[in-house]
Amino acid sequence: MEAPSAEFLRLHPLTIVHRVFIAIAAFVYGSFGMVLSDAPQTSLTTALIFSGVFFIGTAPFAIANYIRFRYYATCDELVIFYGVFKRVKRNIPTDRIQNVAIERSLLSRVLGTASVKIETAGTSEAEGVISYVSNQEAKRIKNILQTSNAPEKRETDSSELTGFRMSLKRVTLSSIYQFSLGITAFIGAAIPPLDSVIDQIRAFAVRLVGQGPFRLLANLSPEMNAIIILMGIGTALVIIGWVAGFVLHFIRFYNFRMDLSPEKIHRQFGLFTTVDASLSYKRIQSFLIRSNLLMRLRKWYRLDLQTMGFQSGQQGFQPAMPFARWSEIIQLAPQIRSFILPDTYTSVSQRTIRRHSFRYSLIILIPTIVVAMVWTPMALWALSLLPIGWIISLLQYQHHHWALHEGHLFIRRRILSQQFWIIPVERLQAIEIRASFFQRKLGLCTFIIDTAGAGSFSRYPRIIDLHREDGHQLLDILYDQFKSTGKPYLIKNRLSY
Amino acid sequence: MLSMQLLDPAVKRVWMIKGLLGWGICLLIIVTIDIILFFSNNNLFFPGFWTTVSASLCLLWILIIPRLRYRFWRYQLRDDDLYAIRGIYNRVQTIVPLRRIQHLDVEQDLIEENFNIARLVVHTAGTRSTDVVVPGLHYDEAVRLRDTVRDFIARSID
Repeated sequence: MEAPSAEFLRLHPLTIVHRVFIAIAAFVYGSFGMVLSDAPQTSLTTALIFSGVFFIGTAPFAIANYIRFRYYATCDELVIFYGVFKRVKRNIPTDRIQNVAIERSLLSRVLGTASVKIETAGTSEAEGVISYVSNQEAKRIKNILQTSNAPEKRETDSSELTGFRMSLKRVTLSSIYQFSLGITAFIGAAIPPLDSVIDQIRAFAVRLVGQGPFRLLANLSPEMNAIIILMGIGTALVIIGWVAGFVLHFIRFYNFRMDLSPEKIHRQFGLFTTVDASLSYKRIQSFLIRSNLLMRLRKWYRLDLQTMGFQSGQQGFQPAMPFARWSEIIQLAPQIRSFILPDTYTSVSQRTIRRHSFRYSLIILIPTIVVAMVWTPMALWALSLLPIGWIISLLQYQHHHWALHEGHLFIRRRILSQQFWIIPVERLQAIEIRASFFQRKLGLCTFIIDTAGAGSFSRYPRIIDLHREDGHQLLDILYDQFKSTGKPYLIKNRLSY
Repeated sequence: MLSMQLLDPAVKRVWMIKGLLGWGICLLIIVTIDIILFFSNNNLFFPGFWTTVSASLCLLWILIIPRLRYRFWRYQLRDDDLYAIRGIYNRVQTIVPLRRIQHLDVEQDLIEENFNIARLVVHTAGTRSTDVVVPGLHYDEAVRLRDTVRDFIARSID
């Protein structure tokens, strides 16, 4: 492998400070966990020694990494040379670059450094990360890579282009509607076995206010105690989840602004870690307008852009309007990519209610039969849940519509966390029609349209339970439209045989 | 228009061997459990019950599933796209427009090599159908398909 030439640049010297800080943070976090656990003193000491050895051992590695890392950016490519044991020279041609983002954590802002993330299509993570360089250098790299990427000039009159900003009031308001399921699950999983918790809380309550209202707790039957304490824990977890959701959302979208220029979409957001990213219009694959039940009740929505490159933690989706009114979204989104909303939508087949009711009934009945073997009265109560399955199926049917209009496929689905997809037909990557055994018996099928982006488990556009004939008709029309649009959308450098 | 193509019939034997290898590991574990149960005199039914049940299931699976998979697998390389129909329980029809293909691989493992069978792996930039795999092609047919698609893409770029 060729050695780096004199053109190569080094990272900012303060990178080592970053690395050491991260190592210390990990060390403190690890030690904190040890201290909290009931580990005996000897194992705690051993753990501390091991952590110390690990910390001292990784320091030279961080320095070696810094010494090995070189890069240079030209109009044609970004070249990164890195690795201590395995040496890598990575060339990223500029025409493959989907997105260049500058990220600045709180520490970066104190030290005046920044991290540049380069995203390309088809990878599940950033293909090139240059962390850390000075803020000016980050901007220089971004400019070189993006000006050479020659984005298409848009025909839209630039005076028509606007943007979107979230005021402090709106960020705060939007954060109220958030809930962090991840943190709730994490804390919930950390709760020790319930018996010991109940005993401890009881003992604590009795000791603390033996004569107060908590005295009642001590006098109640153990079953009632358990139910009350379980409800208390549940409430606490909900509150924790909500607070965590609020804080995370507020930190992430603080000072959010998106500006539409004729060439690019510029976005800036973040309280501690600030993200400064720009995105070419041609990279946008589809729109996804989402809302949870509470947001929808108050008529608030969120607009995400599906792009070919990835944005950390967003599963191929990048927030464009994290919290906005429907009218604001419908005014701004067509400026990003033109579309016309259809006047009418088509429902899926009513047979979907029958199919889903059957499925939910099975979900309820199978555990009920098992319970009936040991506790018949409880099982009989569970049967009263059966109509709920039918109601959910009916609601799902009522909330699932689609339309093919002016070169775009529009799909609305889901009850609680509703999704509204706007997919340009020319952006489709593949079309799939699926039909399970039961769907075939009912003459139904699921229509799936695949667009480019990072992999996502639940977020992909599909129409569930179309009439089979409608599905095939839609496929023919949509595919004919696709064939008549656009030029081949290929990335030359990725072709390999 | 050409009709839908079937896979190479030899793929049934490839799938049978792969099924046997997959089930073989499970069977080994179940046989071990049966032996332990036998020596601990803890048999719920007769000795070797679980081994008999699993071996019968395995046999049924190996005899039926590859045949059904083969029966329902169809593909066709059309002018603008690759069209595939497959699936026993879930019947799936996929259309991959050729102009969306990012790159192509012809893959072969040891068992497939023995039967001169190969897989054509079609990569797109999509989220779901990033890899559309046409298994059980005769090696020459896989190479022919790959070259045809490659020529199409090369023409499109020019």
